[in-house]
Amino acid sequence: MRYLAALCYDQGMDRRAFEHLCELARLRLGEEEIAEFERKFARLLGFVEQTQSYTPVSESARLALKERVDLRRDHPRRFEWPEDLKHDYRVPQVIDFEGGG
Amino acid sequence: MRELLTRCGHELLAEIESGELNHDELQQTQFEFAREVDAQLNAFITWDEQIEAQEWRLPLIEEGPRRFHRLPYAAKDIYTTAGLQSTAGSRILEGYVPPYDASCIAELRGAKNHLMGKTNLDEFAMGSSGEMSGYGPTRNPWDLERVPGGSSSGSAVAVASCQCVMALGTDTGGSVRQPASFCGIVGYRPTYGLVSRYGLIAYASSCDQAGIFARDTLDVALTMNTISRPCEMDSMCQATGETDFFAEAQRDIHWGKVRIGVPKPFIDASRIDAPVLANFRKSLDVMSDAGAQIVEFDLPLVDYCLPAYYIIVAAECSSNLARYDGVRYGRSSAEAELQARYRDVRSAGFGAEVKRRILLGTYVLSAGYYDAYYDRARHVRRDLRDSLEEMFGKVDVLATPTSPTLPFKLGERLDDPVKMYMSDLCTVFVNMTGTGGISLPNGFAEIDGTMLPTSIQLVCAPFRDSLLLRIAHQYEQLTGWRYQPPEWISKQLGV
Repeated sequence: MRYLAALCYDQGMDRRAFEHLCELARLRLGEEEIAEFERKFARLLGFVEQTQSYTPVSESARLALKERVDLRRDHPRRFEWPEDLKHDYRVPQVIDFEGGG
Repeated sequence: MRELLTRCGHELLAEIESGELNHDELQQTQFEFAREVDAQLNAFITWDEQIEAQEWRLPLIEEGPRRFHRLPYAAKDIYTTAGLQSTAGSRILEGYVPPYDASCIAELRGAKNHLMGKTNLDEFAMGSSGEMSGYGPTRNPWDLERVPGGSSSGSAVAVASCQCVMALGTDTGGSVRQPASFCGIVGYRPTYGLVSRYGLIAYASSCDQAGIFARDTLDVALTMNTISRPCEMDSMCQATGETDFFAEAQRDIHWGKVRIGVPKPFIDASRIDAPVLANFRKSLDVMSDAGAQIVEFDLPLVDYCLPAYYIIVAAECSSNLARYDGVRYGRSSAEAELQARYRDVRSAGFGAEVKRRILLGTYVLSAGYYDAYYDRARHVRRDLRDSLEEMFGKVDVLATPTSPTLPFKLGERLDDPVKMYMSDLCTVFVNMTGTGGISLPNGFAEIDGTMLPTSIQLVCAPFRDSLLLRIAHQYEQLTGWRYQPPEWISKQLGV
């Protein structure tokens, strides 16, 4: 499930896409909450959809975006963590790489 | 002594300096009254119990420009305050005691003002009614069954009900001006960069700005002299600290030379309620009769401004609020697996509106939708800024109603988020373009037998805030404005 776009159609969103969205946002919603959210969320999407009919006058905002797109991709590295921290992530000290104290 | 609590800060300060008023007694009386009426209003989340132990050793009369000092004030609970709980109106930050003061708080503390407590708000400043707080809704002092506006609901109510002289709020989309309008007081959002944002718990960083509630424009100017200071901790802060806003606001104005721009969409009867529009037109007539030139102009981007605003702030909020994971601040969880712990804490700690905006922000920033929503919203923002820049070459200030409606009933809009968002119709263009705006009371309208306040909003070009405050003060002079609290508050005060 790489892109939400593949799961959404029109202004609505199916249950699978909604659950994926919650996963991305690190939220867990109960069944009742999901039903309520789906209803109101469809209304919100319809609201922000109004911007789609706007024809931009300026081009400068798009130019700024290009710089962002050209950034390098992130490369995750393997890291061995102690057994007693097996359920948690541990971030390696970056200060050593930078020659700091 | 209670009758003094309806007065403005600059009047009280003059009496303190002349020796007619003892500021310790004022502080004590103010604190007692605030606690007494708060049971009906729920304007405060936390009281500063340390207040009576503070010592005041500054000279009574300061040298240099007059500033807000030695007076009781309150701050929205989104400002960090050293040693005092700061919740942002959210249960996720319940019990969080910051180790540092926000810059505004530090400046006010340095001027020996009395922070009475932290005021209620819509959770993380996301809301337009004051009903979205994790600590219960705030009530409008003009009608306890109606909303006071939001998100800085508690600060607006505290000033309107004489619980304090001045209160700080924050304004991301109208969160100072709109509640000021609903509560019948003055609410000011400075130009983005004129006051430091350091220590404001972030919601949408490109729109967030500290703001001021007061009972007249001169108190706003007095407060600006205290808090508009250079700050190394906010890279966007451009304050020099050299402007004397209080003196500038009192400079005379030649109304014959003032040009006021009125965007046509904001005088459209299909968007603005009739009683609000009627009072707005009367305000324009007052300035026009004094000699001001009123210029109406089209602003078609208004139709796109509100949805574009909600795309941008949702995107920024989903990013800013990612930090609340239960590891560093506030609520935590016993869940062993880290991702599950994050979800646990966030799901239990955030309220419904915050979750909705985080989800919307995550959605519009996700691959496949970034260009369609976020990038398009940035274009709207850029083009809107260009339109206003052109307009400010022709007029001195813009004028609009502050809110399209009168204060509505508690619960009336909770079921429809879009209807709630429409409350920000007249205010978000200011935040989208980084300009300054002030809401000034301009009368009352009767609804269901209750008199409710309405307001006019004046907007200036970026960093023309001195001119804005000057025009605002002169407008108050033209109308003979003087704040009168709601009847039940007056009775409790014995006036």
